[in-house]
Amino acid sequence: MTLQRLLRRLGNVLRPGRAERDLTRELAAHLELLEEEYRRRGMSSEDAAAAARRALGSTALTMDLHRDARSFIWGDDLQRDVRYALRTLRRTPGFTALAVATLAIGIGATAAIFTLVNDVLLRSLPVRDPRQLVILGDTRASGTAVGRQNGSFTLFSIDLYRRLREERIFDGLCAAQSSKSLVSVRRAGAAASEPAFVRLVSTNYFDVLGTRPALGRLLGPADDGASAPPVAVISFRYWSERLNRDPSIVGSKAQIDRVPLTIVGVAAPEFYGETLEPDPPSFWIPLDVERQLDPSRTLADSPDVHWLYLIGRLGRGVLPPQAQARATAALQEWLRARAGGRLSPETDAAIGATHVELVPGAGGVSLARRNYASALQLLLAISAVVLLIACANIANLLLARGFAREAETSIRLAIGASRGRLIRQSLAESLTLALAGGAFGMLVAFWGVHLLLALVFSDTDNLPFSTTPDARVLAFTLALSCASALVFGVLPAIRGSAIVSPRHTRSARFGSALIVAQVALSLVVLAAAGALARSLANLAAQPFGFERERVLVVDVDPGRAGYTYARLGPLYRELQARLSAVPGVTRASLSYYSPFDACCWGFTINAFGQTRPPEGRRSAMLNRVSAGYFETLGTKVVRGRAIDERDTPSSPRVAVVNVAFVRRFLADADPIGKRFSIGDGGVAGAFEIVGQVENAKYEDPRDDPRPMAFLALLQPDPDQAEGADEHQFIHTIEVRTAGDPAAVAGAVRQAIGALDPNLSVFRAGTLSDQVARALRGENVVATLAGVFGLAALALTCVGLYGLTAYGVQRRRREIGIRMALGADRAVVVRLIVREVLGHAAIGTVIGVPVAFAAMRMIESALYGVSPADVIDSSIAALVLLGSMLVAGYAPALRASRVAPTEALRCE
Amino acid sequence: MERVEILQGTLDLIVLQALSTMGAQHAYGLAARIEQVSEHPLTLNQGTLYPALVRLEQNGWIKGTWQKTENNRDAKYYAITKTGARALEKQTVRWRRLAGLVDKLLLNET
Repeated sequence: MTLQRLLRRLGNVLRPGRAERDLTRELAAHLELLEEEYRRRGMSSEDAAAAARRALGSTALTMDLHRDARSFIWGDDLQRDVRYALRTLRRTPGFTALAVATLAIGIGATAAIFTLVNDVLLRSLPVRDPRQLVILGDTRASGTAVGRQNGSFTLFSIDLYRRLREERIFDGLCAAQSSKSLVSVRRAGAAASEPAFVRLVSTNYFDVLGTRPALGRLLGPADDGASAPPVAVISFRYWSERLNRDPSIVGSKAQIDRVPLTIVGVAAPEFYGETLEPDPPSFWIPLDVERQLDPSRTLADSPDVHWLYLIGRLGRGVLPPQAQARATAALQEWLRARAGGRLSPETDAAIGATHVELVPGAGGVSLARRNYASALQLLLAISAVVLLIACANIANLLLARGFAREAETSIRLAIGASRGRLIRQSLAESLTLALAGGAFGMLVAFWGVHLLLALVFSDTDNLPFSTTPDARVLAFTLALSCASALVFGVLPAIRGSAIVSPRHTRSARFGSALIVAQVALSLVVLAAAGALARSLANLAAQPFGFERERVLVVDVDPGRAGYTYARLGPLYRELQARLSAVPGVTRASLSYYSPFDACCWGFTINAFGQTRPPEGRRSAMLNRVSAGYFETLGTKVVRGRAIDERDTPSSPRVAVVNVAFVRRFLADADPIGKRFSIGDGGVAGAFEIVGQVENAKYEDPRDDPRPMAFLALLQPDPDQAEGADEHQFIHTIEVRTAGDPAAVAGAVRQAIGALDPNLSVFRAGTLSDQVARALRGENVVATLAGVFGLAALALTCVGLYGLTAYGVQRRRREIGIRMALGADRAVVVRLIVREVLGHAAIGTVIGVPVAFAAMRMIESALYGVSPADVIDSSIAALVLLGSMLVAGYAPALRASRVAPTEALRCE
Repeated sequence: MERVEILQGTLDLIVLQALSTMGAQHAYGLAARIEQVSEHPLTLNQGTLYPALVRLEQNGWIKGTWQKTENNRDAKYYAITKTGARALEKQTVRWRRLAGLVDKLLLNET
């Protein structure tokens, strides 16, 4: 029965006209019947009409009640109210435009940040049942790791992958290269080769992830094994942008780093791989092809080199803890088998401590999630506060307008409109405003996200992020708009519908409370923005341990260009000689890594004759560098000497270490002459320390400097076969220049090309750009927080200006009287300004402790800024007070120009 | 004259009962009937009948049709439906029980 009524009521919402007409007719008939009755009793027709109307009661009220009963108030009335609201809003275009624009900025900013939150934190991989996917390990590390990883494994070797796969713990377990490779691709028939990103994956990769090809086929069991013909799957984006969606691409040939492959298919349009990252791979290639791609590494045949991420699909009914326990058991068993007979109790205990942790994989692997999660949450919070401030402004505007409509309201109440009805109508108006603001806000968000992504990822436009809002973003924006309507609409609606005689003062007090809240919130936003800006400045200005100005960094890869170990010596000599001779170049050096460029590989260090640091603190980062490396980068040698021309493959093996290394492994003793070895089973004391350099940051500008050791480029590692150490194949060339490093980039490229046209330059950029790139996340957060801070300040000023101007308008009479009684202009100005400053002062007093609390919450996002620091809050308070004064001064001045006679006459 | 407020929820019952005994009626007729039974004119603000009527109609307990009155005017006549009759029975039982209970309570208290 109730359902039936519900449906009919719904029906009435959809077509309110008919029921309304019916009721009007019915009431008219009722009235006539009553009149007739009264006439029959002997009344005059006039009396009868009056008596009939009395008996029937208020027709308006009846219609209202009838409407309530037959339909849903918020449905039927809503249509009417929205129409009314649109009419009213059209009558006051200035107010409407201001309110909608304010809301569009507030909602737009919040929606823009939420779009990114959605992209980076919430969205699942575009594959079948992403919730079933689990990642083995936390994917905190990428690249290659040799030997045992402490605690939780996150990188796996092919051998270990096969072992875990045999366990059949999962419905499917696939592997993907944890980093991606930049390769040169030359398609059959194409004139030139071009760079592209490639990721090596297991042949069941697409199957386990659950995606379909857009064209051709994906990888399958037939592509497994060293003897299978090498194949590749290309991304939809690559197919669209580089190949014009040429359908004949399937079956065509391509050369990737001189390895001939057949392209067998195109992945689904939405598929970007398992990792959310800029520049997702264009090619997916089976793991086995790795042997041919990079003969200097042959990771595929190194059981102890871990370089793969593993992703499993949990079968129905399999609980993650069970799967985790089984995977851990298999891992430990494998490790024990690898260790063979020489299993010391210490090693055994260390193996017992290793485990596999299953991490939910629905969102895939995401560096961005880790790097930007807290920043995005912070920005979302800040933008929400800005929206709150915007709402307070609009609430104040609506309150002020409520007074202007006082007469209208009184009349409507007098003719029988219920108070609830007026409130609903006022809320409908707020909702209309908010929805309009939300619609424009969507546009703001769309452009904002575009701009933001362009800012953060200035070096690529190939992002797996979508700037088009999806259903979740739209729903969020809609909810946000409705919530805003409630926030700014409820108070004015209730105030505006009341007839309370001392309303003026009470409502003015509401306005003041809103301004005080705005001041307090602005202070919080400004203080946070200030702290973030200072934190960025601290990060950028810290001593990095190298001089980033006037250095050009060039990425090359002689291994890919076909060089063998034997040919490296002459190549390196020639490279250094030719580059040093380029005009404008003062010094050139070669190395495997350079700062902030995919650094570094870590190894367990055994310092000869020293007590070992505790487990988990035994590794150092290693780099191989040529003579002149420290000089080129500007890293100071504090003791002994740098790696130089004396350090040849045949000379004694030497190393230079940094201050952190000496602290950790040598207890701050003089390191010169001390010896250490690399790896747990390494030749004892294989490397002699000849120098100590200052700490330099290579990875994260926030990290404490890590222990580092620098080996001579071509001195062999006694623990590896000659030529088997991939780190002897340089990846970067550093060039110190006399002037602008970008200016010599062309000449440097030319010199390299002249030496060997096959030695392609993958990238040439300045070291300062490399550092800036490492800081770009911080940079964007600080910039956005600053923009939001300014927006908050501007909104608060506008709000205060409006309130003060309105107050002056309302008090014209009072001011007129004061002036008539002898108050001069200065007194009037002081009167108004004192009120303004009163608001600002109370807001500041409330805001400062809130700002402190907020700072404590964002402490982890700050660098070198203490949350207890008063600087940012005081600056914010000063800025606020100053702005408030400016915003309040203009209306105060206007008040002082009130002509007493006119003011008195106007009422 | 003391005005008896109609208890919330009882108006539906009164309307159903009136329609059940008198047959189809328009709103005015119903109002007149209620006034007659209660022996108090102006007991009812006649407009308040309408929300009750629309509620009952939406429940499917009564049905309204436009017909001519004896004086050849258009008026909407409401008639009780079968489900309405069943509902009336149920509501009557319920009301009696409630009224009896209240009576008993009042007696015991005094």
